[in-house]
Amino acid sequence: MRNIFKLSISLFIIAAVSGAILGMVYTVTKEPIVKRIKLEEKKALKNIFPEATSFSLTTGKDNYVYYKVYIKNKLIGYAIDASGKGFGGTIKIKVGMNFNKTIRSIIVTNQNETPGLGTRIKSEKFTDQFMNKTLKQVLLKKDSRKGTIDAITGATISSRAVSEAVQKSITEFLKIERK
Amino acid sequence: MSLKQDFTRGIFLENPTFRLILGMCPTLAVSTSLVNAIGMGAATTFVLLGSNILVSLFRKLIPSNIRIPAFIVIIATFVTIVELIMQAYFPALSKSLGIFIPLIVVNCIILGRAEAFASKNPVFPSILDALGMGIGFTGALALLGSIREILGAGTILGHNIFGAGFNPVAIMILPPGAFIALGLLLGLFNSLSKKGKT
Amino acid sequence: MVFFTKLFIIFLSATLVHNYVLNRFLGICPFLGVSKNSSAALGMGMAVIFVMTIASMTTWIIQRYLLIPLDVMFLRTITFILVIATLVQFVEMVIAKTSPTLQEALGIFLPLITTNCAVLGLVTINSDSNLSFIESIVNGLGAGVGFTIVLLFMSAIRERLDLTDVPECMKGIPIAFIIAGLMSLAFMGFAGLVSQ
Repeated sequence: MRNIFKLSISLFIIAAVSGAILGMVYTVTKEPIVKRIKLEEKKALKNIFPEATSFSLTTGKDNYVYYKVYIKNKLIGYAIDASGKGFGGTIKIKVGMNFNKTIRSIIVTNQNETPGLGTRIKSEKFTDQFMNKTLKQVLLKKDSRKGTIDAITGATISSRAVSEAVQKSITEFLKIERK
Repeated sequence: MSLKQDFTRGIFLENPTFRLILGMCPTLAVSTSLVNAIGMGAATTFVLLGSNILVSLFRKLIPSNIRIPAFIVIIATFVTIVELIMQAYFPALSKSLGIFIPLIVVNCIILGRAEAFASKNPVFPSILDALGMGIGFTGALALLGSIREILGAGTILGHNIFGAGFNPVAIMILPPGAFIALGLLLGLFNSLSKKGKT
Repeated sequence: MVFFTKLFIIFLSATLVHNYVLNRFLGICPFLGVSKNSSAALGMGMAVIFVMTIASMTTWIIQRYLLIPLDVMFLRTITFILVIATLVQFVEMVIAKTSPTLQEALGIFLPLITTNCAVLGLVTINSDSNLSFIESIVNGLGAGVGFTIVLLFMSAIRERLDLTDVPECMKGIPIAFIIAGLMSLAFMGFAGLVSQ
């Protein structure tokens, strides 16, 4: 009995010390991690609207969150989030919207697709196809007659995931914007 | 066991990947490119160092029958430290290594060295052992990573080396290529070491 | 009905499309070590299925009611591995009492389920994917079943391989890897099965 007690105490001490050390490291790295995430967000936004001077995070109806994009005080467009299930997990995309309901451009910010195949959704060759497209045009050519996007050879699932995610996000945004 | 042997052992004679056949999962998974391979190797070496040092420092204090859970807690602590540091300062690497960073905890190399060496030897040799094993592991990872990146994507460290006409062997980047490349490498090293013996 | 379809897709995805051994590279060590004969492979597979399913449940509860409310998600790795280690101890005790032959066949590999990256990998993937309680369990089941299937295939092949003429330097592990590569290639055919 005493032995088990001694063993448990030893294990507890080790665990407690580890916990304390981790707590310290966590508090030290917490800020840099948050900063990193904000920086990447900013980079993605700047990629779509390089001439913008400020981005304002806005909450619209139904708690829908998006960015209003400004040059000085003039509103020039919007930036919304899109996400969908790809082949290897969730794909996250930032979509820039013009006033006439067409896409400015898109950038894939997070993906876990197959290296060499699905990861090509990040390439400009694929994402440039989305520029100036409308809601119906954003689908893959093989999925819809009105679709204008060429899927990546050997990565149909990843390409389709991007297409559908973008379409879904635009639909949502237009609903909120209209209100 | 001389100190020099403690260090060099992990690099050649008892290379964790090619001779001890340990740590296969991360070896196959992150060797899709050289930069991923080196990143994983560095992270693993950091954890190996930390755990070897602490296990060796406290080897006389940790009761024998709870030593495995104790080692696991120590290793898991260092792995979490690596996780947090990567998220803060190396986000791209953190994203590409994915779940294999927390999986460093169950990399048999680390637990294996803690049990087989650090728990029975003083701190300085344990440091050398950790460094040797870490370098051996990183080297093996880098070898496999370079092969897979060059053949499978035509690049090395992201730079194109073959020019536009090269059609990469995509299978090398995918799981089957990993298995086959590693199998062939293992066979190669087997035959090299057999030649050395005769 | 949609509910069951979703579960079925999760199961199929974990078992075949994203097979834990051939696609995610998890569980390679036991895959190489225990796949030499079919009965040990089956026993190991069963043990892994059991540990994975229970681990999915326990880690889901811990994440939902402990890690998130206390905002200590960074302790996820430590907590999960300790849960797994405890579960494996428990399974070891049960097998020791009920089937000493199985225990002998599995040998060192039973306690090694703790360091089986497939189990820790599974609970980490569950955690990252925001699955519900039932979905996590189904995912665990699928992962375990997929692992067992591959283990059984491999052991069947290796039992025959023993009777063939393999080059000396390739004997044992190297040829096993080549075979795994070919199996992985075959399993890639499942890629279109589910669109996720």
